[in-house]
Amino acid sequence: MNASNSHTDDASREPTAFDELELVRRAVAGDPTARAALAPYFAKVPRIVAALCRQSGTRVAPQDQDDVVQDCLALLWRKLPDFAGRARLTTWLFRVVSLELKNALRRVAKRKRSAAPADAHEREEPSSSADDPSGRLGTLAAEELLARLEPTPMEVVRRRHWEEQTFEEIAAELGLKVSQAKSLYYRALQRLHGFLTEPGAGGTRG
Amino acid sequence: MNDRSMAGGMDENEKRTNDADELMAAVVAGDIVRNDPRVEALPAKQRAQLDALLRTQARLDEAAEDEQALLAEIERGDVAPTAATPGPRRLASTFWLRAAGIAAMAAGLLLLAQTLRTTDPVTPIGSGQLGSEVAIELLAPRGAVDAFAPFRWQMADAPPLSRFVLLIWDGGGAAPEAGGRPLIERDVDGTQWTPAAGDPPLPDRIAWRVDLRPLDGARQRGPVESAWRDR
Repeated sequence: MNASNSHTDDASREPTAFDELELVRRAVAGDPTARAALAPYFAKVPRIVAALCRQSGTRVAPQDQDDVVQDCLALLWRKLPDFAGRARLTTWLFRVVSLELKNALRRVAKRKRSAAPADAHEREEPSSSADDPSGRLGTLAAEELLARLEPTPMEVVRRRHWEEQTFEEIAAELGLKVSQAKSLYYRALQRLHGFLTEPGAGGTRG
Repeated sequence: MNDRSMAGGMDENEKRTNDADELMAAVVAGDIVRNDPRVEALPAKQRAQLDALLRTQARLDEAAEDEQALLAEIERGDVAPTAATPGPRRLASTFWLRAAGIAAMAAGLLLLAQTLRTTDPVTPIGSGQLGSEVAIELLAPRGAVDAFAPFRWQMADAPPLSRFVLLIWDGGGAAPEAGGRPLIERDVDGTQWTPAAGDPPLPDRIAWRVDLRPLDGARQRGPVESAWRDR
């Protein structure tokens, strides 16, 4: 993955999140070279969509999947200025698509219904693995749950579980006291458990 | 029971709840093990709540593992764009054609968006979900420069007696907002700073940020700028 190396001296160096942040910033500002360098990242979106559909057990007709990909690409472009370099760009793209895939599927289905009401398309809603208390949470469900938290608690949970940081590291990097980080984490965990046990959400009981 | 004793009873209940909360928070933080005698002494209902939180933790760990596994597949190119309804023949024959088409579509979308986006300002680096940035303008260094020093910034309407915190990162490392540790962090009274002889040498590419430290308030995060030595 050397999409952003065009602006570095060492073309063989793996781009860092900082490189990608700078690349995105230049692309958003209108730099055509940076925009071209972003294309390989966006070219991963079809694979991201396919992987998430497969993991969630969602069946999408091939022609619909192209539409979903286009829908996701347009959304990602609109959200691109939000990329803050907290994760690698591909990870960020993956997480945004994870969060938005259900909506993209709904939008595509709605457009299709408007265009041809009688046409029945093969599509199923992505299943939320939260429905199965013994099963894995799944990427889509996890992103939906995290998105319901306030930004700072979400960041604490993300860093604790996804980045495997210690509370000392989390506190230092978020400008919190360690006790605050732990307290935020505990409350966030309670909320996440509450989300999982909401009626209709399934998830762990008790 | 009079009002005072009722209030005393509620206080005792609150205290017990708070103690239990502290114990449970310590367990999920990994500071105390689940079978600690103090935890085992909790009422059954609270032990059940704690176990539920521990299961939620385990599910989050699994979700993180799943994300990493999928991302690894995606990076390796193991996932075909139409894997959801695969027809093996179709995938084998059209994978690269479709991938190229999508790449072209992405590039086209970017160009289209470029033409449509006429007034959308650049989001300052470092802004995001943790709160809005304080309005400090970073003057120098920015972009390609001969030398980094002096670092200069300005802020209109800075609260009286405010100080600033200057942070400098290695621009080749993790982005500041991604948790990279700063090479230098200094409290500064004015709006300018020059490294001293004893300060760590700066790499060829840096990111820097200036936070506001009001006299009577919490530190407020400022914007991030990047700079590199023009050779």
